[in-house]
Amino acid sequence: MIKKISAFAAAAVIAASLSVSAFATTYEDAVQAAKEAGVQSNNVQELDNFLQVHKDCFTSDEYDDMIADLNNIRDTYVAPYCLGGSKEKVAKAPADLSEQDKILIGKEWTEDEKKAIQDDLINLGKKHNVIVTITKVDDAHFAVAAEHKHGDSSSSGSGNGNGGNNNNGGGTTIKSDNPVASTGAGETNTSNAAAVAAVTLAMAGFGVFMVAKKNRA
Amino acid sequence: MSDAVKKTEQHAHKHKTSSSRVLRTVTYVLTPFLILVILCSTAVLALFKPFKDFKPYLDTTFGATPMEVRNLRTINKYRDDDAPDQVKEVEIEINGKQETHTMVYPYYGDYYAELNCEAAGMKNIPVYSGQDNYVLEKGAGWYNGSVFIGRPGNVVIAGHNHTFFYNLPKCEIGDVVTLETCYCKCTYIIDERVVFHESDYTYVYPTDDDRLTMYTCWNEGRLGMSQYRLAFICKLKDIEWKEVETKE
Repeated sequence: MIKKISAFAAAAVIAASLSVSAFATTYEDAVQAAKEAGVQSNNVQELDNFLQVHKDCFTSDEYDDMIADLNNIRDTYVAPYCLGGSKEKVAKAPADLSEQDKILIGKEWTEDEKKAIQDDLINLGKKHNVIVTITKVDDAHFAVAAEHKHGDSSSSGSGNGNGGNNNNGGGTTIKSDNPVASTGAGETNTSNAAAVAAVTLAMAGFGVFMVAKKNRA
Repeated sequence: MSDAVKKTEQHAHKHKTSSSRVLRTVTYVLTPFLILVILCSTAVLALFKPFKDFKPYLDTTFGATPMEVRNLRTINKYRDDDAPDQVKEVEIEINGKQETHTMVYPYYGDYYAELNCEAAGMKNIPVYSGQDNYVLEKGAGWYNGSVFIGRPGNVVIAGHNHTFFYNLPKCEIGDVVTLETCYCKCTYIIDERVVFHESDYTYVYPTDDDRLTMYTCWNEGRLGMSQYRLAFICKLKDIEWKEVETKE
């Protein structure tokens, strides 16, 4: 009888642990949620790369929270422009959008909507101790940098996000670049020189005008 | 005329003479200076376009890359000095079999790999993580919206056409390209040559097949900025995983 009870208990424990592991949310689920939310595939890859490196820094609950946030972005800002939405632009579900469709929808967003998405991403980062910086927003793209400080209680999920008590330093793992980089000769310095020359020319011209005016008087 | 009026006129004349003397001096000093400034500024503006076109050739000839950034052990502004190494065990499916290997993930701006395509004269090209100007000054740049080297998918690497990817146009279909990190060495075969507009992201998006995409600015053979990119798409032939020494 005791054997039977212990075997039953062991089976129950194994079944419980299996069910826990079956329902534990992983970083792959968060990446999948981003795909289904209509995020551009290169940005999904950036998220995938970031979470691959930091997957152990987040708990299952935190991944759930990230997924909830991504689903919220999908429902609020993407779904209205998709099949059956109030402002339908593309007759597809958010998960089935092509890259061109995503750009098309991004162009429909108002400045307020873009600002709201930015704030949402920054706040999501803060909640999970990731410093999210939006460096550029254009018609359809967000350039996002994510920095995560190692070595503190980063997986608590309720922190203030400053990561101020770190023992170890951190670094930017992923910084969203232009998908196609500028790979010609740098022109920043020469452009600056031209701008300075143009301003100097204008000032010198103004100086000549003033001297001539004084002389005439 | 009364004395008072005379005195006032004399005073006014004196004042006028002294102020015109000051004005004359200012004019004599200022005019040549202003003319010089105008001439110099005009010259800078007139030479701007030719200089911009010529600069890549100057850079290529005299080496625009300072010595300190040629050294691989440079300070990376995107990471703290005491940031820990990002070493992880990964499960990768190779020929239907799950294998466990160790990967060392780079921080943005870190030295990441070395690229070689001997047939095109591309030898020991340093590849850094990221693609901003700071990174591309130091070497070729791995796009962090593409997969990490060794992972399945599209690895995208860009480089300046007047420095590290100067020889990229010499690549030909069938050439062997190797990409070596501290944790693996990938061998690719060039499969396709394409020219695309900078607004077309088709070739840098993730793909289902394992490939390497290398590109640089394409100006019909000339150096300098362009809206077009010349890309070589390479198929993965082999991956050799290395033992990674982890620091305690």
